[in-house]
Amino acid sequence: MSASLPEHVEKLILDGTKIGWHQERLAAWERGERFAPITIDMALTRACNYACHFCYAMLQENDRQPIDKKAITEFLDDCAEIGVKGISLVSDGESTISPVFIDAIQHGARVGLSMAVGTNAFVLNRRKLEEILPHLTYLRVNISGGERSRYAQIMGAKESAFDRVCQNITDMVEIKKRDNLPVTIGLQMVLMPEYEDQILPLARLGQKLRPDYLVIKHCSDNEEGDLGVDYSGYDRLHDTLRAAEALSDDEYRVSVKWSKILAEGKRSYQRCYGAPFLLQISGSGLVAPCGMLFNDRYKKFHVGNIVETRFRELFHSDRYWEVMNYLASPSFNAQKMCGSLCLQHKVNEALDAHRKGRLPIVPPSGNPPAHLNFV
Amino acid sequence: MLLDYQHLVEDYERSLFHVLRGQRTLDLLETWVPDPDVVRSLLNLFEAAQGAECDSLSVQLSPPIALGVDEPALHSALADLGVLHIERSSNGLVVSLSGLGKTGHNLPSVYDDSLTRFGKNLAHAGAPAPIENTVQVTVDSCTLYLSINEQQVIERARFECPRNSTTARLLEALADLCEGLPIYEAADHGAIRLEARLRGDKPAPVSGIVLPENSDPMFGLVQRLLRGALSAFQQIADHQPAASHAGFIEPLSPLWLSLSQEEQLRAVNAALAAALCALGRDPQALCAIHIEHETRAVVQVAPELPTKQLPALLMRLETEVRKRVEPTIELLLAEVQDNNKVRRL
Repeated sequence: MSASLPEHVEKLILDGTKIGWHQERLAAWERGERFAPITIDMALTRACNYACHFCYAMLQENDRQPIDKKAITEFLDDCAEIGVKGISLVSDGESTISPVFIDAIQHGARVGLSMAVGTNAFVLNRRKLEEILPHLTYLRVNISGGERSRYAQIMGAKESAFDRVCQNITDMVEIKKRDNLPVTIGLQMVLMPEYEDQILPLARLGQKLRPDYLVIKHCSDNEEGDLGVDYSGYDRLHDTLRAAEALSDDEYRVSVKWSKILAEGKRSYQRCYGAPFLLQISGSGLVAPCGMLFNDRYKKFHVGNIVETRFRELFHSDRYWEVMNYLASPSFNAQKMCGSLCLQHKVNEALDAHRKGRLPIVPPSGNPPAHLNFV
Repeated sequence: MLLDYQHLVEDYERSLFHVLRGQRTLDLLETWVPDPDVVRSLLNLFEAAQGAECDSLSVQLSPPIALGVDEPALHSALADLGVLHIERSSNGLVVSLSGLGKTGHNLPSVYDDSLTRFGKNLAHAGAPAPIENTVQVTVDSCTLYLSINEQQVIERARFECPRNSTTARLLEALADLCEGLPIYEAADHGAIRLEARLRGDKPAPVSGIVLPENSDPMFGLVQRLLRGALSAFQQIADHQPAASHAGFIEPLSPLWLSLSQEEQLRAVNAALAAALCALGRDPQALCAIHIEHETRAVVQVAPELPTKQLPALLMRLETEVRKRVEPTIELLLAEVQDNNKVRRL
């Protein structure tokens, strides 16, 4: 990474966890108290206008319920009340196609939550970007191809979508610079080994469009391997990935999530301590500890639905803590019962090493990193 | 602290005559009353020390007094109070008790039943005969001995601590749990396994996430013993950590493996029906339709079962099936497929 990167890019943690900066939650956890998630990753719908080849959401189907304006407003109010710090609209659906998308971002910011979005950016336009960017901590565009035809093939969209998305990225960057907004604009490539040919074109596209970063990450799969991710295939990509990282410059960083890629889909831990710190909610409104457990198959882990029950009630319920405790108990084994490398993986790694006394999480020193509320 | 018994007795007797009020010897022994029977006298003495929250104490008996001591009787009288060491020499006898402060410790009531059961037979109490590959670790006057084989699996576990104490029952349960576990698994997860095993279905001791230390400080002792044992093992053994040390998978029981899939299904369904009956529900409300990957029982649910109650019910039923049939079973519903198909490039 360039030593002269601007501070907001330098301070980004793209392949790690910020859990150490939340000592008060760690202390509550160790005392056996109930504590609010630092971050909730959610979607406003299960639906999507794309059909990405790598889409993990295909494996997360559950009873769909529409999250309307009342439900999302109450949810965000509850989050603020109980002490949630950040909401990322990513999870298992394309939140920009929900009619409540813009309202949700604006309301969340109004009640004091840090808000963030992961999107394919297709239905966005300049007007919408003007409305949301001032309220966001980050906006990350999912883009797994750097060339029109391959983008369309990998992302299950028309080739013309590529042009529209590139224009939207250009607009985001322009608005951010114009208004000197603190929002971080990122690109994300979900990489399967067969997209090897798109690594460098995408890194070069980023150089041209000028977002703050491009992050390249592994693709998750379920424990049955339904998406067919060939984890051994990442090995041959290392040189190309390093070449992509070398395209970083003073204001644009290409970052590979090496820790997950090198892990080959394996976990070093069995207990899942991360879910109460980093909770996931499906675009159906389903509250489950994590996305890998959204499918109805894992009904026993489901806590409730924010469309039917206020989130604060769910959070305070014994059922919520029964589920979280199951994941932290010897009854659960993430190596055997989960798919590969979930959203909570880095938090889990850190908490597990801390629990085992191998790498205690000590209060960090220095200035806090960017996106602190997205753990 | 080493006290001279004869001196103590003489001081005591002298004080009976010369001190009118405020008669006492040491603060530590303010409730002690000597007895003509030395064994009873020592029992009184160590009980007094324990009452004064003294953790360990040694008493020197001169040769003439030591000659009259019935050692087995002394052992029997004192062993329940702490870790007892009796050393006979030309100077007489030194009687030492440590871990006195642990005896009165009580774990929360959720563990009582299990601990009482383990306390009935302290089969793992006492130091083992010296054999190779045994590691020994002492924390707070409690000692754990683990015999570890070449596969890094604990073959035998023993412990020493006050026999009539909660700690003894706890360590008996720990020793029983450890045997057959890899040392890394014991060090990493032994304490939380023990907590879960002792608590069973009882309510969690905390409202948040149960960890050994927040359940009861005694599990912290367990954790320190196990980590100390791993550390001792790493020092004595010229070993590489087993590749699987972070991935110990509970082995399936031979009985479960001996069953055909049809028999496995029958066993799971019988357990489900019994558990449903016990919960006052229709025994047919839920049944397993097939077993995947040896331990995943896929269940079908009757439509009349209230959907909202299903998640918690499934978790409860899984616990029952694990208890009655096979501890590694998971209960899952059939996967709900997305209306779209996963695309292949």
